[in-house]
Amino acid sequence: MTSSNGTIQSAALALEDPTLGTSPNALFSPAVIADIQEKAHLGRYRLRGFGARRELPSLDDLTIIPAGLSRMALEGYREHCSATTVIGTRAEVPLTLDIPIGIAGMSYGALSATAKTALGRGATAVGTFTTTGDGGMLDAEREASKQLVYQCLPSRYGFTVQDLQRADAVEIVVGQGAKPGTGGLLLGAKVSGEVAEARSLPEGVDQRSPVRHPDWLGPDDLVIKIEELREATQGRIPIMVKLGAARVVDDVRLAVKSGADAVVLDGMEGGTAASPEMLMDHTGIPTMAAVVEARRALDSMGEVSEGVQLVVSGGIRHGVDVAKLLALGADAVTIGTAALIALNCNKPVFAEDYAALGTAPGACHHCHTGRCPVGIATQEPELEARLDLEEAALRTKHLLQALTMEVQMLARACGKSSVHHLSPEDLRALSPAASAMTGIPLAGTAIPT
Amino acid sequence: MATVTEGLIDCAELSTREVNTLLRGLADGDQVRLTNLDARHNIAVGLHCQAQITIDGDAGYYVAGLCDGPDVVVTGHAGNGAAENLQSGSLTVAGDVGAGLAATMRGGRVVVAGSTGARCGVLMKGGDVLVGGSVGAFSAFMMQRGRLVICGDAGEHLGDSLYEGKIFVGGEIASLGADAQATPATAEEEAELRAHCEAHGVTPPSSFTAVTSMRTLYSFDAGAWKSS
Ligand SMILES: Cc1cc2nc3c(=O)[nH]c(=O)nc-3n(C[C@H](O)[C@H](O)[C@H](O)COP(=O)(O)O)c2cc1C
Ligand code: SF4
Repeated sequence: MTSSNGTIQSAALALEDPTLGTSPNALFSPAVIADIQEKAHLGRYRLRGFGARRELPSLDDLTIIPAGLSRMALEGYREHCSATTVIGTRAEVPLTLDIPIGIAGMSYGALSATAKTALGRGATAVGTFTTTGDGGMLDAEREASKQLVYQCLPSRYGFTVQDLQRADAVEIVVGQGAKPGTGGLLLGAKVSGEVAEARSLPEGVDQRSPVRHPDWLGPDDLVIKIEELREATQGRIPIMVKLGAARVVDDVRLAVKSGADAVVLDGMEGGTAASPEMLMDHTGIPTMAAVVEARRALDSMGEVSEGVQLVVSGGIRHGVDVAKLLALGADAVTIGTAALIALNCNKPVFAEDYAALGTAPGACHHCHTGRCPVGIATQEPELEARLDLEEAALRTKHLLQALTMEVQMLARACGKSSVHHLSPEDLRALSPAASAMTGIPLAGTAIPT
Repeated sequence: MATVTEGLIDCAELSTREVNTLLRGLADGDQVRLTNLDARHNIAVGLHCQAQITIDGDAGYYVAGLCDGPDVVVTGHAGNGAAENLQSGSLTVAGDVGAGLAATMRGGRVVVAGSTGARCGVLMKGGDVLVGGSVGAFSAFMMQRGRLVICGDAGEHLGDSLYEGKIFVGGEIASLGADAQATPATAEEEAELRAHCEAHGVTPPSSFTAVTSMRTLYSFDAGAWKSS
């Protein structure tokens, strides 16, 4: 021990704490070390697709409390439980859906044309809508989608008056949950000839999308912008505003005050095709907290927000998430990542192609590379060919159908004849944090009066 | 509902929707003059016809926005976002224009005799803009394609993050934006620009500076992102 020999000293240390030599540091974990070393190699921040990866306060911290003696449940397979959902009721022709779940905006460019078309067909088959994205409207997508929401993003890539006038609603995108306060990215591998032409860009360029709209800056101008879109569409279709969940109360109130017919709110779990890694995990607020703040904001506005619907997204995995969000105040939800997973994202096929990207089925978040092994997030024809349109459309339909059945099952169990009758009263919190965030009572704290 | 009487629409008693509905009913080649608009916003938006529409006096925001075809003339000044996303046709303004003139414009022609506010030609994707006076800061920000000709001065950060568009400035440039470079216009460009100005009743400056992209922002980094 007193020897000056280093080997003997290390051995002595190891004897004091036998795990010290191999146990990872909690602060500088192996993942953090890898991240630092990767950035030291790249000289810039890291990019990836998918969404937040770290554990966040989530809807799993809530539970649904069905009927018992104090209220009557509905028969699961017999009694009617409506899922009909209307968005944009103030417009002449609102979106009228058979289910409370739509497909979120994902761009042609980020996704292949086959993926976009499959989403449209699947959504149409169950009576819901799909949404364009930061790359304009594809003819095939329009034809496949009975109800198609047209995004108006800061970039206005591919934005035309003809497409605007054949849309069923407009969604002005102010932000996304995955990256509130920042613009988009489409890296060169996905800027194929066709994508470049649709976006009026040089082929192969690493395309950046601006974050600020070019022709309006603040809510005062947004009022006039919304009116412009209404003039161009003769007030026929709903004009919605999409926000990344951050300063929710103020942003929702300003969106409504600006004249939005519906507010689309995307929580920090929300997916993306390409974002800086740090933004996904460290900006915005979780969907569970966001929906509650948004509902409070809307309810605080009295008549001004009457007829304004709240559409929520970000990390929705199953019908339970949908049911909880409806109970917390959403009028409808949209899914992005879950729909891609239905298409085949992260499916254990073509394992060698996942390996070539440095990942594996179940862990892939490599949409930004354009080399999607299952033909979804790519513009390479040979990869896109791996996605069978008919089958992909059917899987989309099946997923939307299954999620809706799950919501209806839970609503019936709570004694509700419509999924929209679910309310905060049907929930209990499982953690003090979830209770504090949502105002839902913590399970086990009810006291007889 | 009012109708177009001998090419004149008195807008005093009409709502903006009614004015635009009348304009939507115009056929190619029709000529119409709008009076008593009092700088109202959103006039002549979302039109496809190749009609000639003259607005007597000032126009508000988004005049000739989201249009594909009409030739719109404003005899006074115009507000923000004039000719935004214009696909074809033209907007001619006798006075000055606010911010965001021709934002995301895709095609057609815009001529402004006076000056414009900030972000003139922001995100332009095509078409031709001619400004007789000066433009404000951040003009041609992320301009993708097309041509922006400024006879007077340009504000700070001109052409920031420019892609393939081309800018010509007759006066002073307060500063260039990231990735923009300035070079003297070539003799052919000078001759063409002079003829272009004269054809549209704008006095050309003595010479032009061309502003284009250095293309250093075209690649996020030389391919390293592909693995991370
Ligand atoms: C591949 C992909 C592409 C996306 N592209 C866009 C887009 O173009 N515009 C947009 O507003 N949001 C875009 N988003 C975000 C979605 O609209 C939505 O907000 C998000 O996916 C919801 O979260 P979820 O994926 O957890 O369901 C994209 C998401 C994904 C996964
Ligand atoms: S499988 Fe395709 S869609 Fe899914 S994360 Fe990987 S690249 Fe993206």
